[in-house]
Amino acid sequence: MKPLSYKQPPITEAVIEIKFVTTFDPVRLDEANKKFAKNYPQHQAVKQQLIKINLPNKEQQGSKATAQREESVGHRRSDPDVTQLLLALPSSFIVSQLAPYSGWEAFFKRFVRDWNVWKRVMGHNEIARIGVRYINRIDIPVVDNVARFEDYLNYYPHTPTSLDPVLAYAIQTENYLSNIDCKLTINSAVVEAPILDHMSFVVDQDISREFNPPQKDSEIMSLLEQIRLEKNRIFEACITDKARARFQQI
Amino acid sequence: MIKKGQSLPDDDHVLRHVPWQRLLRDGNDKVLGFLPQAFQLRDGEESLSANWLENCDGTHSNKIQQTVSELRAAIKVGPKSAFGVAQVGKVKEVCKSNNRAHIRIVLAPTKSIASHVEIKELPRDDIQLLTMLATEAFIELVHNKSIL
Amino acid sequence: MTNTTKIPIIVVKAPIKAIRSLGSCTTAPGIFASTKLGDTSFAVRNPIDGYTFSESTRLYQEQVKELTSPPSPASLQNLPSQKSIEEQLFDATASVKIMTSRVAMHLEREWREKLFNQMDSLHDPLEWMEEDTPIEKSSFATFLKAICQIKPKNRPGLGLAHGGNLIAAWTSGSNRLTVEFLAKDRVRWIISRFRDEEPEQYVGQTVVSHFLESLQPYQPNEWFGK
Repeated sequence: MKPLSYKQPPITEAVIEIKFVTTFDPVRLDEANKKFAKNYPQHQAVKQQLIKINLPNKEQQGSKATAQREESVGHRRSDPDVTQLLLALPSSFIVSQLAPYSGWEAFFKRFVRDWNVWKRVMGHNEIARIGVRYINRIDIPVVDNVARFEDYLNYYPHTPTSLDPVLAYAIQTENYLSNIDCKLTINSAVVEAPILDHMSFVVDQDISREFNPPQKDSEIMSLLEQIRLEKNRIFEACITDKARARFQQI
Repeated sequence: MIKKGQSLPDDDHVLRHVPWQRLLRDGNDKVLGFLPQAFQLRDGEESLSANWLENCDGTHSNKIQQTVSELRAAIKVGPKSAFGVAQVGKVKEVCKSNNRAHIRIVLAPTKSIASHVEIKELPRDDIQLLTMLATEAFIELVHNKSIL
Repeated sequence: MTNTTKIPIIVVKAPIKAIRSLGSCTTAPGIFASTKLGDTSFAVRNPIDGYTFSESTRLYQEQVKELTSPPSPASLQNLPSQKSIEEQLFDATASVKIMTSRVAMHLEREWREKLFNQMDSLHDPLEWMEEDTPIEKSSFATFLKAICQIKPKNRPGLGLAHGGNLIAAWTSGSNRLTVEFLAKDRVRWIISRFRDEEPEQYVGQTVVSHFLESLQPYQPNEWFGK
């Protein structure tokens, strides 16, 4: 089945993340960071702090509480328009696309290009997790103070009608996609609408393989393509024709 | 000879530096005039700064040129900024209309700017008055890049 | 006789955000206090509910908290630090570009691209006045709501007030509509016209959802070009 295309897809962010077993040292990470400067001229350091506190228990009376802080620096790069992002983090390589989304082909092509650059610098490192995340925001018109989300979405909480109207919700489900041996996590919630006279609903799907992820490039790319097809199928299952009409199906 | 603290004569002129961000432009960034906010007091500002043209000699253009040179030496003047020129009497008239404000424009030279004046008693947030200043008082616009 | 529970105070040197995160997810008892990097003020995080609810309820609370989705790459923020003016200006324009991307599906591509050019122009370091404040996100959010609703054919000229509020101006001959976008979805507008060479002004201030309606008596199509 040919994937549906939309003139105005509701995607706000698309992410491909490769997580590694090891943590890279800052010097090597910075080396990779510099290689991306040409395509992503804007740079921001991203600091992550981990604080470990050890409190003595009853048996250790007399011992002191200790605390350790571990700081790691990653890199966030973007194009001048801040729609194409790349993150080089101590344990992750992430390529992200903000709206407007130009389609999988363009996004995937960029990922492959950047992955090759990454590998040239970092070499082969054992992969712990491969994930694809698509964050969609569906803006539903409010008519007579009501946004009939059930007319646009198939993924929402089921509540007794005696509790209507629903003012807000947040739900999460996890499924196993046996055909591609991946975990699917869907988060959906009412969020603040950035436009007038609408209510906004996020449908955020994350498809990942954490157990036995592929290590060879050909298998990684193949898995990503399979995830893409599943992602489309799942998204279409979560919305109705009324929503499709709003996205202006091509 | 006007001394520090004295009001400027109505026939004299004042010049105000307006940075790029507060120039009225069309959708293609062509400059058309001044936004009302070009004459708005900042937080903590008690009076609006401007410059007295007649502090210099010569033709109207010469006075503008000399005043701008003095300003450039003292403050940052962005290449795409501009200057608004108004007659003192007109500024006062506009402010007085509908009993909006009775301003005083007084000479207040600083160490680096001899022509500096303060427009005092200007209401802080009267957007209508600020618009009138932009459209009826400061009607002459001089681009910074037009001054050598 | 009063039963008093002694609550240990745990002081950790870390940014407040990290401490709050720690305080919310740990089951270690105590009041968590933070010294914000660079100064000596304390932020107190008090997980007193650790003493209010039963063990099983606290476990349910932790499980529910784990159900939050991780931040997306676009939402990752750098920790505040001393930045040059160029970096501050870039951060400001980057923020509003990300905000614009969130409504990209409601804007024409060309409109969006020109808007970015205008924002870059307003924050050009060469033209920047040190005393000014870069674009305020709350003002820009109000602007986006207005533009997505009005969808004007004519692009406005954009300006920036001292305090970072975005200003949009439409002109038609010597007539002009100037709108200042404020925080919390408020707009302030003024129309300036010349009728028989006599100036007229009309002023309004309203919430952005009523903005277009408030302009109806003044033929807004003259500026918006619809």
